Amino acid sequence: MRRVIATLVVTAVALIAVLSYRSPKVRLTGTQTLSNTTTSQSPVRSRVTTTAPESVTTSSVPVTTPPSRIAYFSGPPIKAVQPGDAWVFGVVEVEIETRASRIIDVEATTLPPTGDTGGPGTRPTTTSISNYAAPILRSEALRAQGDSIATVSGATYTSDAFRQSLLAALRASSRQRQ
Amino acid sequence: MNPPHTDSTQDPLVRHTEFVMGTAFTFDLIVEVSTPAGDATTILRQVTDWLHWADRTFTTYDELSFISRFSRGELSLAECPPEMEHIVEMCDRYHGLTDGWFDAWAGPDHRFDPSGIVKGWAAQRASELLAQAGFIRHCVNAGGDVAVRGRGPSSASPQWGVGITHPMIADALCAVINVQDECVATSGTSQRGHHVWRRDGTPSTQLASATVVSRDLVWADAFATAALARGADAIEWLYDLGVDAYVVDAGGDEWSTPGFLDRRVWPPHSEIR
Repeated sequence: MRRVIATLVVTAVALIAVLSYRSPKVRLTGTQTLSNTTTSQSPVRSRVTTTAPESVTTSSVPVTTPPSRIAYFSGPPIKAVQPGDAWVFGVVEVEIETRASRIIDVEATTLPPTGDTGGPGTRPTTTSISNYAAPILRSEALRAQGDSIATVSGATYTSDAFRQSLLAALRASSRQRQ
Repeated sequence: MNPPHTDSTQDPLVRHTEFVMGTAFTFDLIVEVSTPAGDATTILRQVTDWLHWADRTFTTYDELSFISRFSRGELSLAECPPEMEHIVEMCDRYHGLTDGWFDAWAGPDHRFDPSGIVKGWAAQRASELLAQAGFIRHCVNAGGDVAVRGRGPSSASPQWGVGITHPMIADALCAVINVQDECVATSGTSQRGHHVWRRDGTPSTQLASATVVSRDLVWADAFATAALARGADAIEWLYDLGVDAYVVDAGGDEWSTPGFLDRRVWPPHSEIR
């Protein structure tokens, strides 16, 4: 049986920039650009750089009254990769694999941060973890607030970054199929 | 105002993060003499393979997944993997247990969407698989839903410290609690926009987040989700049920049941207003 298997791998990168600590808002800014697509043979690989729009992680709960207790970092969670007031928390990379027009696999991988991590709040383990992502860094940063914290329950921004990357990957893939 | 640092030592652990089900699953496996590190790689591969299978089966983002075809009526239960029947049963059960507030049929188009239950169910199954393989001390964190087993990694406490993220302030915790052989689920409106829907089809807005501690992660997740949908009287409802729970309302006020307060290690009780 002859099967034409078109494997399409699209990589989307979502950069998550978070305002410096002590700032209550998360800001994700930037544009989304689709770079050159390799059109030769399958697997086709393209790269979509996504910096999620602001709406993605802006809390839908209006922050009117400040809560009674707020735990802040004692220092920067990780070394700033970008200058200015934004901390880059990490990169989410999504790969989708399609056969014909069907998605057969969606996988997210992550890129390590540029340069070393550092800062008072950073755990020594952070440099040795190869598969970095925004949620992990965020979770790591939260855990680093005290060694009594083994893990973190509650909202992470994973889903948003992941979904954003996934959507970009899907768009790129449908463009390539045409 | 930060959670305290202690002079404790931490047991060595193997940490693995897998992106599946639209979120990050993080596994912390404490390695003991009886559990060689190589075994961790093997079991983690088995567990994550299974998670990806469950994701493909139950993803509502793929029109061709079993759940999509089942909820459109194109497949019968018998034509789906047996796990589908289990999920449908669980959704039914929790719909009843939560007075109808946990509702897998409550979305805008009333299509069956068990997403709220699948992640917790999968994380719990993952935890069971790890325990069966001999890793009796571990933590599975499924995008913020947590299941822990056995002694925690810190020499300072036999329990696992679980931080609860602040629903409104990014990168802030609002509490740290100790748990052992238990699960913690936090449901929030800020997590993915309004993802909890009330029975009349409008999004729930009265509460910012609800956290429930339970022996069962699906149970904790269902009740946290139901509490959020329920809104203002949720904390009384949880209290009457005898659940260890913690709720932050949309105004930023925090409500804890006594059982939850007993678990809390941070902030110190003296700081309660």
